[in-house]
Amino acid sequence: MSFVEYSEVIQDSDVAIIYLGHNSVMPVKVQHGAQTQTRYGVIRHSSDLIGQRYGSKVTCSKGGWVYVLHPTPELWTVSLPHRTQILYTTDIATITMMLDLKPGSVVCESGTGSGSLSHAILRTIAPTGHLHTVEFHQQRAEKAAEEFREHRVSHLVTVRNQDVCKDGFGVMGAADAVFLDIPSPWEAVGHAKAALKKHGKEHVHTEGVIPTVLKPTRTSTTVNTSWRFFSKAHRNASSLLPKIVSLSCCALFGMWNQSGSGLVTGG
Amino acid sequence: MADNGDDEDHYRIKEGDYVVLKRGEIYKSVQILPKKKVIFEKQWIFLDNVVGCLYGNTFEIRSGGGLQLQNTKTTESPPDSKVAGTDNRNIIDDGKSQKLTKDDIEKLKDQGLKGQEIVQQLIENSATFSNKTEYAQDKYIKKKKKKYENTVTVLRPTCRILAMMYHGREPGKICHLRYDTLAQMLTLANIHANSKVLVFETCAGLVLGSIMERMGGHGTVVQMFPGGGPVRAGVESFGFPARFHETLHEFPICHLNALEAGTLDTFAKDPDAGEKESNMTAEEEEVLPGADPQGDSPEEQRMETVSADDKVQDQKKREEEKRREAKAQEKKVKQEEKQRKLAAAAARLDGRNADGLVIASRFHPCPVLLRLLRFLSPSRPFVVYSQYLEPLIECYTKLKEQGGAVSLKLTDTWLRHYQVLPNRTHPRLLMSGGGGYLLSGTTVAPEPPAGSTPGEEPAPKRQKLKATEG
Repeated sequence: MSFVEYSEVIQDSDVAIIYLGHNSVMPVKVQHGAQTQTRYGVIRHSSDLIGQRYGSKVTCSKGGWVYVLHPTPELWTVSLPHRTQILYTTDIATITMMLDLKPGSVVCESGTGSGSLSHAILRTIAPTGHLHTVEFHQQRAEKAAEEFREHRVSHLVTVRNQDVCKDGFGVMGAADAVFLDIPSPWEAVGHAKAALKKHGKEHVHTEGVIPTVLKPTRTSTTVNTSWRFFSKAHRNASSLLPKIVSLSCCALFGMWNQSGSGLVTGG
Repeated sequence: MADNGDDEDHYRIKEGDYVVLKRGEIYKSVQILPKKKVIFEKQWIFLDNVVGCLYGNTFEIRSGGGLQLQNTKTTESPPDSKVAGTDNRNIIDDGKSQKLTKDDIEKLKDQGLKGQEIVQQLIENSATFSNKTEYAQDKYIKKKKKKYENTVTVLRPTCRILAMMYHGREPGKICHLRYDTLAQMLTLANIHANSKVLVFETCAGLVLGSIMERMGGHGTVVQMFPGGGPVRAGVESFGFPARFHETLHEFPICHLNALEAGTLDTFAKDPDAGEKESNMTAEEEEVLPGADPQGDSPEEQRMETVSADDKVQDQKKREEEKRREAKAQEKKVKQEEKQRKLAAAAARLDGRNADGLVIASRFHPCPVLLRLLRFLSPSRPFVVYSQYLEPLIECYTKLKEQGGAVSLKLTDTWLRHYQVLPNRTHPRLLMSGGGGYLLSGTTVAPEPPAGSTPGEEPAPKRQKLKATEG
């Protein structure tokens, strides 16, 4: 089992997803001798899980049954323990496409939060890409790193516990895409630029609808000023036409023109 | 850094590359071929000059169709004139504010004035420009630029760009699949490297290409196709390296019955080939009797000193024979190649262990879905796209009846574009009902034969009779 590769049979120390019913899923760490309580009864890992095929029906002690599913980022998103407000699959899908993510992409992300988007990115960029994710909250950063280890994806990700607005992403000129979901994205725009490869793409995303109608605007103007700071060329004002998509949040897509002439519209 | 050289190379346009031309919101996919005329937005252009430049560059279209790298300095907007009005109460729209006529503008264009300069001329000759508010001036300039700028940007094709292009230009070819719906499909089906995905699509290859891009050349894609052969025009536009195509297989959906019954005949000789062979021999026989009246066999005739005419005739016949033989040989090789590919695809399907299923076609999805689901392992996602809702409702109901799938969701998404400018941020338009619908779910182990499962429903709560008894 890993979040980036399928396997057939449940094994010890896997993370499996128990499907209890529509809209009811829960993650389970499979261990010899362990038990999991559900509303249909007890699931004994050694007899009911280990050695069974993913996708099988498992009968619980009280006579009820559940299904055991192979973990995917989508199932993880609806079952993970929330430490922060997370991104859901609908937005994650759009973000993945708009950032042109594919195997081999190098991505910078901040903040990590509860890791919902992180897992989806890892799945898409495996096996040759890398994710640099920054979280300024120490416990959340540690928890995320722990989960990546348990999910067998830690070779694809580097978690840094720092403030992206002050210290950046920890890499320079390496990323194909940058994703910002932080309270003040305009403060990190400069670092985002530094982290991008010469021809990379940046995406600033802000949560919530009403409070953030201001954010894309402020970020877009900041992008222009910070860009001027970094390069000699002039910006193209009319080219700054960010496109915003999705129901639940606003996002500002931009791509730095390789010749340094300023932020041009996504696509 | 030493890598910079290689990286740079990767970002430079090469001859033969498939690229996407862009102006504003208009995209067009073309291949860079030397001295080839390309129409883009009612203009003829030659793409020779872009070879060697970096992707993402913007070029100006000179008269004659050549492209020139745009000097970034010239794209700077003219300095905002300080003169602006406060509102439009005194601005009368009588159509007479612009002093330049259409002919004047044509003359300017012919003089070779760049778009930038034409816009400047228009501003200077506009009576009401200085009465407009700053924002209105901005809007005016943007509008004129859009009309008169003569530029094109060259982009590397990606799933996102091609999806937007198809949706804007030819939505009919892709069953009106909107690009954000495509994004949902790729994520819900958990498309990733090193998996085996089954695809059934009639979207000109866009869906197939997107899946291949997300798999990065690792893993396998088996395309099921209706009719004679798979339609893959869109896949070429992605410009994948050759090794990606090795992961792509195709299988005709009409042979599914045979495959499942185990009677798929992948080694039978094509009856056509047999016929052609017999035709060949018949022709050969015809030639030989023809040669007989002339006396000896063609070889012997070569050695003899016969008249020049006869020699030429014989040579022609021999060449014809050789050509026919070569053709027949070619056909045979192609036929064998086809059979080999069919066998390879069948082998991929036989294990019934595919990791994902994506359906997006103009055909009714129900029968296709129910047949192809059997080829998936348990606990794997599948996604069905349909332009309309009703066929998916049918699929949903049938799946619920037959079992084998959980977490069924029927969804559609809305996409709203916003204009983002300081103090002028607002939604532009709402696209709804235009993007199609998705049915997604996860397979589970099939039910064992009926009668053996006591726990179909969760057990009812135990009645606490004992406590009240006695």
